[in-house]
Amino acid sequence: MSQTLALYSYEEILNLKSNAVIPVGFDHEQFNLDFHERIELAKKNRRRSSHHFNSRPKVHRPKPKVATDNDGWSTVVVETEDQPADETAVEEKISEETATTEETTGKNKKAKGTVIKARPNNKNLGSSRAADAKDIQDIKKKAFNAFAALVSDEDE
Amino acid sequence: MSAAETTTTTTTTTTPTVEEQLKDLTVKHPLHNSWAFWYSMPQIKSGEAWEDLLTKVSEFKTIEEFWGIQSSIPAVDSLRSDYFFFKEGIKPQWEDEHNSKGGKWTVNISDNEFGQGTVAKFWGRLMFSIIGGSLEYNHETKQFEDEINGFYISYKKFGYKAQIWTKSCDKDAVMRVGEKLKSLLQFSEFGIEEEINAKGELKPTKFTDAKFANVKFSFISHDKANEEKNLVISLV
Repeated sequence: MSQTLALYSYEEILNLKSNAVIPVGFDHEQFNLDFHERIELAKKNRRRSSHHFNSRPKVHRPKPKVATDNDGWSTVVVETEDQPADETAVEEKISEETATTEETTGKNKKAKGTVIKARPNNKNLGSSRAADAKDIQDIKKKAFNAFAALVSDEDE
Repeated sequence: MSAAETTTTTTTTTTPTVEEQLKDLTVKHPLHNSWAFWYSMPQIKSGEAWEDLLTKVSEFKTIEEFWGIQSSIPAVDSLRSDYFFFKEGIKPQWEDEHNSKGGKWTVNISDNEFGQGTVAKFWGRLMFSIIGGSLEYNHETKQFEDEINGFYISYKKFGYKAQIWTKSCDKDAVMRVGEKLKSLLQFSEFGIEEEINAKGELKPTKFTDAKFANVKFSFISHDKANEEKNLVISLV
């Protein structure tokens, strides 16, 4: 039996293209099905490109509502969507001596409908309007009680 | 001559006998080596191991069977992973004992850089040359060198990467493979999509190899731990 040299030129290979025979056991239909299906799945699960790495997703943040009353108090209401509506960020403590508003800190800070009451400092305002005399006059914190003075320990 | 006689005569001269038909069916063109076609599926999840994605699709040992595979799989242009052709008994993994002492020739190629259809042509010529034996046949010694274990093509973002894996890092043997690989690209005016004319000749083309003059072919051994064996060659 003569030994044939298994060396084929391009022309010889191309000439045999029409004699193609599917090898035994090769399910080409299933292969093609899996091939395209896998590519489609890979496309769906494709990672985001690095082009997006340094950008933040756009989140709609409503602008705070600011209302200023006649006394110069500004009320800022910041609306958030993910907190229960019954929580408030500010507790108003009105003492008998002075009416002050105190901001509380801690857990209440992240509440929905955050309300911040603040009075602007006049020195930082650029208004040319003259200061109200009522604001700058000295008010005695504790009035002198003549009747109380009359009641002295020395008299007893 | 009657009509019946005419019909009989014609049938006898044009239709091959049963023996001839059987002979045609059995005559195939054997390859110097038996080969296996492997395919790695595109990764879908990050945790999928490469070994699990690798599949041995089919074996073949004749030109006809090669065409049977080649004609029924998606073209290389639509590939989004890897096609491998490795000699039978060798896995397309560098850990395989046949590969571990060898290395690989690598060339990057893209249609964007070299023109539409270049990748398919180059891949076609690469398959024809290695499977057909011309890349391994030494015309001086008139023997096959059997230096190549396999070859494959991978889809990359920039285009495609083709590799030829050798069984050794013998510089002379490796250089002979590299020089032939380079000539494949430089003369890749025809490939798998090309047709031949009625005379059985390839159609002449006006291809110029000038744009491939600076393509870099690099060889690196698989054995990175052993610096003495870590051969790196570049062909320009």
